[in-house]
Amino acid sequence: MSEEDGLCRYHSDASKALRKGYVAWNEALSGIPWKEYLNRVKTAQGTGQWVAEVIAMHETGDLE
Amino acid sequence: MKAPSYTLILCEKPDAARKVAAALAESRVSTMKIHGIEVLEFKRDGIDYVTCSAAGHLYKVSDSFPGRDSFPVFDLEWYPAGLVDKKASTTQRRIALIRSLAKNARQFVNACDYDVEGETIGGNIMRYACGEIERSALRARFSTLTSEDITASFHEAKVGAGQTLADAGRTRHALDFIWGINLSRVLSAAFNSSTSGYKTISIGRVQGPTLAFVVEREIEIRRFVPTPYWTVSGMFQKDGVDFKAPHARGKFSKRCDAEEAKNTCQGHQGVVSEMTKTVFKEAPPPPFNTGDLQREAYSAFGCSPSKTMRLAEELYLEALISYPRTSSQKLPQSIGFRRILSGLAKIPEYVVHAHDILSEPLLPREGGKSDKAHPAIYPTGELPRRLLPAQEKRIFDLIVRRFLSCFGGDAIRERTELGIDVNGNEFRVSSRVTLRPGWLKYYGKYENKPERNLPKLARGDLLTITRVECEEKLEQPPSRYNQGSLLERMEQEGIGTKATRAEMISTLSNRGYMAGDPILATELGISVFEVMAEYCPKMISVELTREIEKELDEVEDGKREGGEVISRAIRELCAEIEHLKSSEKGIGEELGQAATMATAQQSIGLCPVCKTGKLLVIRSRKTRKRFVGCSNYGNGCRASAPLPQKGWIKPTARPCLKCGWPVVCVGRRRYPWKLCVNVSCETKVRRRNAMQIV
Repeated sequence: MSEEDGLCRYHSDASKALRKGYVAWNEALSGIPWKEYLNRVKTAQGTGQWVAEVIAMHETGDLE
Repeated sequence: MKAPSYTLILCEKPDAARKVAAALAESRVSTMKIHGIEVLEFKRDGIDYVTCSAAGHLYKVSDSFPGRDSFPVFDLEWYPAGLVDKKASTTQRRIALIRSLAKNARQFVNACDYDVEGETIGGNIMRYACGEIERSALRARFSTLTSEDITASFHEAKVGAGQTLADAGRTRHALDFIWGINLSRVLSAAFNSSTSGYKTISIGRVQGPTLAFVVEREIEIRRFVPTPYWTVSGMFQKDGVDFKAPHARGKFSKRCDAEEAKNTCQGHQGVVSEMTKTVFKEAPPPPFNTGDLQREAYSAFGCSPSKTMRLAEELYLEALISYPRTSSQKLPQSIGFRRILSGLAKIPEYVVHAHDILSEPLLPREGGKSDKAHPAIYPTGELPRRLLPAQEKRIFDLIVRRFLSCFGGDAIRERTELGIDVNGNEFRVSSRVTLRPGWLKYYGKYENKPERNLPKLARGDLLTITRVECEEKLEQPPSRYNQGSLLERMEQEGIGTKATRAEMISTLSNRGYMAGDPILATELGISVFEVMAEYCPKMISVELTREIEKELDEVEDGKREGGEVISRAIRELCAEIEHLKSSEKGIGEELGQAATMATAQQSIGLCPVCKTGKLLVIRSRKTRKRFVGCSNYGNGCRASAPLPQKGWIKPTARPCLKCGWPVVCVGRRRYPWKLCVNVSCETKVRRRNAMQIV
């Protein structure tokens, strides 16, 4: 455990990648709500295991 | 036993010993079994010969065992393998036999495989079992086990040939031992000091960087976020023939741009704005070396590199192919192209192709890589003396066809590239057809580039658009390594040798650092990599491993002393071991956490027998086979079940509806299936009974 969110290094990186991905999705779709984005990434083929775990934490409110 | 004055021939394997005896004997070969080990006797030119085999390494490098956990360890000796490794206990009998045969021998011939490993095996036996006669023994060097090659090699046998190979082999073994034993002991000590359990955490000189490749890829995959993109493609029609062409822009990163492109095409016709035809030659691929054969066998049949080598070894021992451990892509004239092709012409599958090639001048295509010891892998032209098992037959066919293709001319192909304009949008499509097959006649079945044909078109032609599609897609993470691509990466990075790379991949799987195919890094594998990357990154760096490989090559060429390379390795290791020792607590905790996670991941569900334990996937220490066992075994629960030995296994988190035992998902390549682990499950009993009735 090292990073500010109480996540390990790898999950923290996954969290950063998730936020960066939101910018790309928002631009690609000319706007997408955060929750819908999380839902689409969660069910998408190719989403990494750590990213899926970070999404689950967002959904349960463990992460803001 | 024979009277003094015979020549003792030492081969690497019993099959090779039989071939050597059969090739050289001018009398009947008499076979004896001494302590269960085969010894062959025969006469040639009035001289008695005795042939025996080593069956692998009879001597292994080790420390002088003061304590199994002490480190650093830098004092090494070569010991009889049985003293070092319990599994090699039968080697003692073999050493005793060779020692007794050596007492009465007047001359010695080392006829082990001519490469670093073979030279080390033979050299050590000559040195330690035959009484220091390594430098006076003759060396017979052959690349195939055909009678001609063996006889010629004995005529040309020289004293001291291959000495530098033996030096390089001994240096490599010593270096790998020092590296592996010290790093493994320091990691294991750290792990065992911070957990209640006992576990050996091992890492080797080539294993480290190889594990790094797999883990780095795993990390990339696990933190991958797919982003969307769109593709636009048009279905065009000309003279009743439909074909699809993608938009020249390829990927659209914004949906609005893709939709705009699609909308502007609606209701318009396409015009062929550009058409270029290129005729090009495609040269045949070079003949196989070890790596190329392993990769091609993996891509053609999904055969793992280590299995390919086992099968190729069988074919070599049958004298059907040349020595399969080679870096060379060269086919020298001296191997006798005409004789080989005439031999292959006697096999029905190749008769037409062989005659076809024999009618032209025989000039094979070669690749750039060479090997001082052996040429590229080629068929010997001998006929199989038994019905080859299916897997051996496939590898044999691959090698024969690759060899034949080297004599085929270039394939002539035509590529047509088409540009289609639709209201300012450009679509591009290309086709490829073979005009003259050349080498593809022989190797076409393994050449998997599909042909694509387009209708006859000319510049300015109008095309009807039947449909324009806009498709949303997602970027995908990089692919996991498979055994073939990992082997290729190791080869590209210059780590390991042609003989050891496949084995290294198996070792990493056996250690539990990676699993499955495509290869997944396990939690333990990631953790070992993390520890190494944090505390001693140099030990898993490709650069250091590559540098040492280069130095070992120089030992092989006689340009450097083996001791010099070992001294350098010791210097590097000493510094790193000190660093690791000073961080023992942190390392132990990190590895301990990973081991706990790994155990949790192995659990496939609750035990339906004791209702409190967990059913775990366990690998037997004795047989290395995996099975399901209960975590309450120590408390008397004997619930267990067999498991398929191949493919990955994942829990499904649902019990079997019939018996309540956990259901697992078993997968190998693309076809996973679900399996209730209970061997007495009602569903299985019913199926078994049904099969018996049939």
